[in-house]
Amino acid sequence: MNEADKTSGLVQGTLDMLILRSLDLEPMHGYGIGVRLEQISRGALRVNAGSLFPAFRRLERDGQVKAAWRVTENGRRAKYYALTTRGRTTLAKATKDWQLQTRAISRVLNASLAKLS
Amino acid sequence: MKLLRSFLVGLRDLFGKRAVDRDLDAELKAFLESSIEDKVRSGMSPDEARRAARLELGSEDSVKEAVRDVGWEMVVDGIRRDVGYGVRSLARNPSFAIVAVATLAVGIGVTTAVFSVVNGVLLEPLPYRDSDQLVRIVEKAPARTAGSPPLRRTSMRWSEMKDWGKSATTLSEMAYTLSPPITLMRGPEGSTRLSGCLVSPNLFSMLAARAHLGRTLEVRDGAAGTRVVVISFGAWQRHFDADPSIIGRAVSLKTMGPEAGLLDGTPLTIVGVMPREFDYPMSYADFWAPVTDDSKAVAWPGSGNVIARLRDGVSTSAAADEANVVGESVRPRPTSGPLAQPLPAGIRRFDVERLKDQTVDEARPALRMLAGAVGVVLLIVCANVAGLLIARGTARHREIAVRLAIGAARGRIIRQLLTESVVLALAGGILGTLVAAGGVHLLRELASLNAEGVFRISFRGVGLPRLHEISVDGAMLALATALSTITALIVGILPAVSLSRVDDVRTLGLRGSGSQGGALPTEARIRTMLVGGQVALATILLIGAGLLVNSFSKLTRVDPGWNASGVVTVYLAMPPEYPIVRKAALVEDLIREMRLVPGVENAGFTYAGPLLGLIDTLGWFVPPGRTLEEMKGNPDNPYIRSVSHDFLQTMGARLVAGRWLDERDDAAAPPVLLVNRAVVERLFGGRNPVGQMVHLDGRMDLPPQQIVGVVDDMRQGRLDAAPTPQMFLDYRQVLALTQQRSMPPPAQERLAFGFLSFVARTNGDPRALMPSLRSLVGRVDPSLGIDALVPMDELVASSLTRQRFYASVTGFFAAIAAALSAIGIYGVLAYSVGRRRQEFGIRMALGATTRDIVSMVLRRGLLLAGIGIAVGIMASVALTRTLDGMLYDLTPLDPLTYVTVGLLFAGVTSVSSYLPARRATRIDPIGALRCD
Repeated sequence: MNEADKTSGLVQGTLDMLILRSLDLEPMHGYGIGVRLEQISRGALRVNAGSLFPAFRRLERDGQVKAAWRVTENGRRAKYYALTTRGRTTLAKATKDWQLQTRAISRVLNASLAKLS
Repeated sequence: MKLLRSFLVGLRDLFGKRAVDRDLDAELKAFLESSIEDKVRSGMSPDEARRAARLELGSEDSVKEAVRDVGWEMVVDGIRRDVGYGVRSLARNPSFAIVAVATLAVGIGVTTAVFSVVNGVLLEPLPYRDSDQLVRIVEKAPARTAGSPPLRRTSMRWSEMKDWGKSATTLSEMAYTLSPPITLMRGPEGSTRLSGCLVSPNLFSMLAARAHLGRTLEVRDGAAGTRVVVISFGAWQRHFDADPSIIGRAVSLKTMGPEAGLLDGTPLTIVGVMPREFDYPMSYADFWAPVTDDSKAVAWPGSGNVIARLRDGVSTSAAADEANVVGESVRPRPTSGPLAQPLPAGIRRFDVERLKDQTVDEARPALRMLAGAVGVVLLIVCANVAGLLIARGTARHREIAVRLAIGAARGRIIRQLLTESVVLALAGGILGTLVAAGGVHLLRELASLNAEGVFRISFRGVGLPRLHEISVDGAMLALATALSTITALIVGILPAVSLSRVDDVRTLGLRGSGSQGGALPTEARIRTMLVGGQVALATILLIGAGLLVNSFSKLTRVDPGWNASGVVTVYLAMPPEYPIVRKAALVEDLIREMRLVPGVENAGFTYAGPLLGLIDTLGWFVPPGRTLEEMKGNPDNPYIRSVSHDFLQTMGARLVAGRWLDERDDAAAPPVLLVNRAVVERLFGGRNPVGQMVHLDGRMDLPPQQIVGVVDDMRQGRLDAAPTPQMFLDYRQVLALTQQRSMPPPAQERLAFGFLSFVARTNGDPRALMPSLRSLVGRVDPSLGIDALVPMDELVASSLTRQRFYASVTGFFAAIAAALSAIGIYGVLAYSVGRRRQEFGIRMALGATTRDIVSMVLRRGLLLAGIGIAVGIMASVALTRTLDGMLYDLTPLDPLTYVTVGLLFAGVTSVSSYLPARRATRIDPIGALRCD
């Protein structure tokens, strides 16, 4: 297994949300998505192919992304993924849920006896 | 919506699988190239970049594997591939597959067959409406001899039943059946014998039975003057060629013997044919005629069989409480005689028992034993399959380790191992279904009674009840299949699970041959324990079966005091209106004619032949010098048997002293008799009684009769019952004697003619005599009915149906169990020999002899078998007690059986240990050292 694989640290189900988010900016091919996730997270998240491809497939089957073969800026053929309306809705909902949850969690973590009483 | 979509996409991907795979390949390729490009751009050399990119991507196959696992259709697809792979890998090792599938098939099939029988007989409700409400009323009476269980009676007179029905509030309905053993049907070519019943016309509606053709009897058929009858499916086929237009035809039925006159030959109109399954009150009933208001049955002094239906919600104990009140008024207890004696404490005079319990109670202990035995067989089968799978799994550790190393997911491998187990179990299940169907058929054949005429009645209880209701039980089949499948599944995944504990590299290590690497001590231990357990269980079965087989073979070798081979026996029915003189003349004519049949050596007549079990007494037997008072109540009072003078010789009886009866001992001659050895021993203190004058029946006022000879004991009833004291009189002298004592004609006929049994002995095949005997009877008098015409040795075989059934079925189980255990031992040792090849090679190189190696392996096998056999014998001592009532002349702890079985099984297991041991000696030491 690749030492750099940090996806195992990801909360279950968040990889799909992150992929959707990166596609929200613009359609992208598989390698590009991986690179973008790494860049945005400033190298904190390095997702390997073994996790990425099953996720693409899951999202595509679920109708959240659609795929098409296109030519890249380097003149290469690549499979581009783009958000569908359905994917956009899911992303919005997932983002909202995530923020609600993280806020709640951090409130719990920051709570002290003094504040509670 | 989402589900539907997933389903459609799944279907598309499943069928366009190749396209999907190509797409994924291309995508992965593009991914890799982009990655390389990126790395070159950041300053790596192209080669370096390629290597780094490949490293980052990891195994392409494992990525593809992961992608494929998304979505349900890939599970289906995976299973499809697994099944294919499983079948191929099983086919590569056909001996394993054949043994495993055959073991499963036998286990599933045999278990299902036996449980189908047990379930059909013991558990299924009787095939009547609300059959758990059907009961019989039992009256108990004190036993004649102290200490025996009380006598039971379930019959009632018609009038008693009517009175009972009026007073009982716990019973909603009662039905009556009176079954005269012999009824003649007059036809164009002489008379045919039927067995049928006179029944209360509500019987069919009470049981909710429907007719196959026409209608059943209805309550209105009880009206005076109604002359109708319903016939059975069997009678319809045998006597009416299954004529579909039978309804409306008239038949003339006439009851014979003590029941003469109940049906007097007045034509009855056939109104219905019952279906084949209808078997009340007996499976061989040929017809049902209603008891009409003007029927002789209404005032008949004899009793019929009565069943009653409990009202809704009434328990048998509530009904029994009421029966003890109603019964005392309907049938008051006699004030004198044996029936007036008090019953043992705690036993009430009347009881109410469920019809089903009465039907099957007798078969219950033996069937339970059988169910237990087959359960053991199933356990052994499961253990054997488990052992086989463990061995195979162990041998595959390396294959699995390789597949794990090149990227197969552990779940995937487990799934594939499971699939293989399921393929095995399903194949076993399918074949097992066939075995079960054949097994049920065979069990029914084995347990069904082959007897005709009066023997269907006297052998009742010899076969299993309710046999015709039995078929393969789907639930049992599913259960047995599920059990073996679960075993196969649990054991099947052991290798995959245990691999997580194994060091992959060591397993992969090139040192090992396929079977050497993953020799897990736990698995070897489990296997050894399984085999030891199998041997122990098989020993129990072998000992149980050994006892039953031994007991059966003792029964077949028992000396009954007569010789069945070459003897044909004929039971006749004579028209009841013939006067006694005419019947006597007919008997004489028949014996004479039989002697003239070519091939007949000797012929004779008796009132009831061997195995019929008919017994009659005639007052108290008083030897000379004793008084009637002394002899009254003597349990050794001899039974009287009426014979023609040459009957005993024809049967092959042995004369011990004195002379045979002969032609001159007729009605006019001085009365004489023969006695058997039991009479001599019990009434004459063993002294030769020939020439002594005795009183047969306590009539001291009449002249005594002379004993002219002694014959050896003859078993008259069942072969397993000890002979009783008996005396033989010429039938002509019996008639004279009964007339001298002014007995009523029915009693005269009963004692002199009884069931009209003739025997003929030939030195050839008795079956060849049967056609000429049949035509002879019709020639002598066309109104004679043939009740039974059967070779004596077939009767002997029929009388042992039950014992043969249990002996052969348990014997078969034991054989399976022993064979499986032998295979199990062989497997364990062969496997360990394979694993220790190198060790043996070294030992031989260092000077170990063939003998040393053989004894090393053999010792292990014998130790395993010895422990198993010892444990099995100890368990048998405790378990075989259940066989107690089923053994003839044998205790459940019969040492001979234990020793024989122990030695025999030890022999079998040594052979199966010796074979792998010999293989060990064939190892070429150099080769063994080098190749590994």
